[in-house]
Amino acid sequence: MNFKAFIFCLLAPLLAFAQVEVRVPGASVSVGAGIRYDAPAFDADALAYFTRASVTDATAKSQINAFVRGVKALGVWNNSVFWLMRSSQNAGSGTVAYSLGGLETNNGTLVNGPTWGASGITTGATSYITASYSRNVLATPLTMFATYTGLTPGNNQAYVAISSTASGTPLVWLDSMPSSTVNLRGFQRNDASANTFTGTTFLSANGSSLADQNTTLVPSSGMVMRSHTWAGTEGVHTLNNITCGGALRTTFGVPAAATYSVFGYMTTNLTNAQITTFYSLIKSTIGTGLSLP
Amino acid sequence: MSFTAQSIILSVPAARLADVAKARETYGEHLPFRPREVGGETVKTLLGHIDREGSDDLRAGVLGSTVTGIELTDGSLAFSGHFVQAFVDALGTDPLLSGCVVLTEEQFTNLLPKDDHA
Repeated sequence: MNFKAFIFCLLAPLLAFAQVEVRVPGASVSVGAGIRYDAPAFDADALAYFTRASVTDATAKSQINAFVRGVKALGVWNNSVFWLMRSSQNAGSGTVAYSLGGLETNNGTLVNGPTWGASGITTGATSYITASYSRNVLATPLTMFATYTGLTPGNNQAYVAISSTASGTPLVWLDSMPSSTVNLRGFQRNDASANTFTGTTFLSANGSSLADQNTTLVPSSGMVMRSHTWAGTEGVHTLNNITCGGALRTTFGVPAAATYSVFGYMTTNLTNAQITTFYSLIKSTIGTGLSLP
Repeated sequence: MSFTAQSIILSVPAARLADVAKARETYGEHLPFRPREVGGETVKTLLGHIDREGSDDLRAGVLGSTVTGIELTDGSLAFSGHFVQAFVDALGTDPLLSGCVVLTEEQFTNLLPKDDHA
């Protein structure tokens, strides 16, 4: 017996009974005597979403599963609704953007031809995504957030989030755009029943009053986050409206197109630190590969 | 199928909406709701939209649901998408479609309501 054969005989029994753990969510495979692929199962809510939205991509499933577990770990699952708009993380075809979250099922509708893509759904001057939002926004604390590209300086990926109290007082505004490129940050809310506007305070140091805001931009029963960005030295003025309620949409922007990868709302206030943590969760799970800031 | 190769913008006077809806029976062609799904449900429609980046697949537009008119300052409604070519060809001849015109991007932009902050 040569040396290699001797070593093989020595190790073979150990190899045969070794336990190999492969962490592929949802996979459970037994291969040969003594070798077990022990993989954790998908979260039940993630699994239900895969079925509803026809998500089949293995990487996307893993990302979504990690995101769902992370949201639950943050304790906001039952307050949340998300739209994951990268094609592999949702239906990826057709006019329904399936929602994910423990608060309610609130599927979105692609109107006037937004396009599915690997980085998200691209909307334009006339195309947008709508979803219902029936609760009174004036009586509910609300956190909104989005990750997107387009309508941003250099067309870089960006995120924006806001959290407000039930009375409409903004608590937190966070975005990834440098102050030098944004001259207006704000939000406004519109109650469906009373058509009453409130919450006109800016948090941005370089912001100004929202008192003259065009109220027609806020659909009934909606809340809008809006920011103006300067597209470099040419001074092209672009506008981004992200609305909770009537629509998630971009309007009146030049250029008009924006690609949204994630949008969501929560019926609870988040602190600055919580939003930062939540954003980190997005980046490390469903936002992987997007070059988010 | 014969839909316009490029997406176009059609302006429809509000009073003509019902007639345009009826034109679906005359000029409409079938498109799927979810093009990536082989053998899925289709519907007769006048226009479709590109479903996914990197694909030419059109998905059906449904008036009042996945297609809504954009109100313009002249009182008309604008619809954009890839229209059935025969329908576009009939715009100048079919009396039911009188007043319906194809807009350029510039004409469309000029007719959009202006935002105070834009």
